[in-house]
Amino acid sequence: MHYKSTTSSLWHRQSFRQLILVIPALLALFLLFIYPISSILIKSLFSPDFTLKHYLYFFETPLYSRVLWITFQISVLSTLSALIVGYPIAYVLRRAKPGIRNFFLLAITLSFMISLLVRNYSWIIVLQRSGVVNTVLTYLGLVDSPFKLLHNKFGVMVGMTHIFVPYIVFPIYSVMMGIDLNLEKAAQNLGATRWQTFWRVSFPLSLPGIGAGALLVFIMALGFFITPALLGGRKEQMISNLIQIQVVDLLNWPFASALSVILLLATLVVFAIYNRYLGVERLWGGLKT
Amino acid sequence: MKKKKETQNKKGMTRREFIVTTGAATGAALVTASVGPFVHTTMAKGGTLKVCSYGGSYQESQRKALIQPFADKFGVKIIEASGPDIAKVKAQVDAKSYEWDVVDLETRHVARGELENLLEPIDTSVVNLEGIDKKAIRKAAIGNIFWTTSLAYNKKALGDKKPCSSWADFWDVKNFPGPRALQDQAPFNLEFALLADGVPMDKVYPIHVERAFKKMDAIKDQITVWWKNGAQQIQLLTSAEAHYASAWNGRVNVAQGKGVPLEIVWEGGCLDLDWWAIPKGNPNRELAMKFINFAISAERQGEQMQKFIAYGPTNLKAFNYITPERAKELPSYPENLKKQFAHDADYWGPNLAPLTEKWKTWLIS
Repeated sequence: MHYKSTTSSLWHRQSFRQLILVIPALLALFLLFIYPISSILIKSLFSPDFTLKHYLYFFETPLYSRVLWITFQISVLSTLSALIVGYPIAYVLRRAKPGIRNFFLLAITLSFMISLLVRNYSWIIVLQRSGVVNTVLTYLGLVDSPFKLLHNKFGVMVGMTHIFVPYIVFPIYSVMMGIDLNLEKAAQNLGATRWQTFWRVSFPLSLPGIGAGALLVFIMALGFFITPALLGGRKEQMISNLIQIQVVDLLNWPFASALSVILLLATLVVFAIYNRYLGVERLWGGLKT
Repeated sequence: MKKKKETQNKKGMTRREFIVTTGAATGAALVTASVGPFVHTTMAKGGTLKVCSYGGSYQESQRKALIQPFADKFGVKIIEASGPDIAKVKAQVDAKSYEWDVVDLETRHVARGELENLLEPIDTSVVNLEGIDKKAIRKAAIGNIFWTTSLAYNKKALGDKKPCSSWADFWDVKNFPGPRALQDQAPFNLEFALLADGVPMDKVYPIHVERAFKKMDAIKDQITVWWKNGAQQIQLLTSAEAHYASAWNGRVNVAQGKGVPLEIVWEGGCLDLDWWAIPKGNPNRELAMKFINFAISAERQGEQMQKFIAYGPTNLKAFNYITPERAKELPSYPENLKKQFAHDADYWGPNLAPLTEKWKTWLIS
């Protein structure tokens, strides 16, 4: 346990220097995450004395758990739909020529820069009763009366998928870039069909990307409400919309805080399940060993 | 704004100079804020007033008819902001740090603000209430416009079909077919349902909740869209995604001005107000009261409604400054007024929370 004084002071100096370096990061973490989340937690539990009534109210009033359930359903469905659209894009881009690949990556990146509202309203123009899709279908005589593509779950799925696809493509693409394509050739050399090669070699290797993208999108979806509000119907109500009403119109901040904490806990449960089966470290691109 | 900054830069202001100037201005603003009340007492003329309103063509009408003339007349520097709500007022009052001296609020926020003691009582020794409609006078707020949520329709989309002329017609989908839209909220809709069910306008409040929801059941599946914001209602009507919708008269008027064939039905409209209010404890309240007094004067409101926006003046004498043709388009024009009922803020104050829950539950079932 006894160190030579020189080693000890060096050790101290180094750790001190390291501490200085991480202080800004810790400060930002504290100010932007730990402090606000704890004050929300405190607000939900003390008003001013300790009480669980806001949490009890959540469970006593069916509306909130039902809307939380709807929020989860919409989040799961839009994540799956973004995966179905995003995975093939990443798969093709991995194998495309660099020029084509860069063009499409740029195009996907550009979509980040278009405002969410503009993208939602664009879908309204495309999908509404007198919109592009219905006009073409009616003109071709394929349908008699216009399809209801908007203000229902379908409209929400289209809008959310469109927004989420880039968030899915990039993690999968970056994981795929790390996969040696020779493995596929080896598999085919050993007699695997194209499908077997995909299903037993390429797909399992790309799983970390799928997990990372899906988790990212799912958590984003839980907090969404503009897209469901504009493209959805009466049943597509999201929990964040109810939180906003409590904050802005009803000034019931303790209950709004309780709702936020419950949403956060629900998110953490998903995160924990993910961590249990896939490992959080894969999110930052590391492979679980 | 952006353009202005660019030209300034072209005139030779370097980036560094710009930052230094901005920094100095910010510093000055901080000093001004911290000595707040003294600035206005020591500099009898002048001072700074921070006004927050709802932006868009609405705030522009206020800027041209109320804010700029006030600034010119009293030598006051006015800082404008947009996007008010009572939650932000509460945050400022709780922190005793005021971003706004005068704030434009909708009725439900005023009612909530009065319930929670977040607004300064109006000082009637400064604010002259002569000529102000009594519906527009509250303890801690003065109405600045009348606006109406009413039935509107797209004339062109209806073609030869006879349009609805009341909420009862709106509910009668057999004789008045066509896609319909209503707002996703309990206020107004429950009232409209009662009117459609035959309740006379003066008996709407207190709302018979069960009866209203029963009537809403009858039309639930006929409503194609439950709109969420002001832009959406006009977009729905304009594109004929909805032939009929509840809509705000000011927005409909703007669309009409752009040549969209919309019509408004005053019959059964819900007359509501926007209000001027002052966050509780604001050290700048004296100047804020002075601004409110100026802004609700007949002459100022007259100019605002005549030239810039089709809302109703709360100062009835303002009609002296408004041409008869224009007056007919305004919600508080006596002929239009007769056909409408007034939104009851005191009913909704305590009932908004439970009825919002009931509304959302009803909507997702």
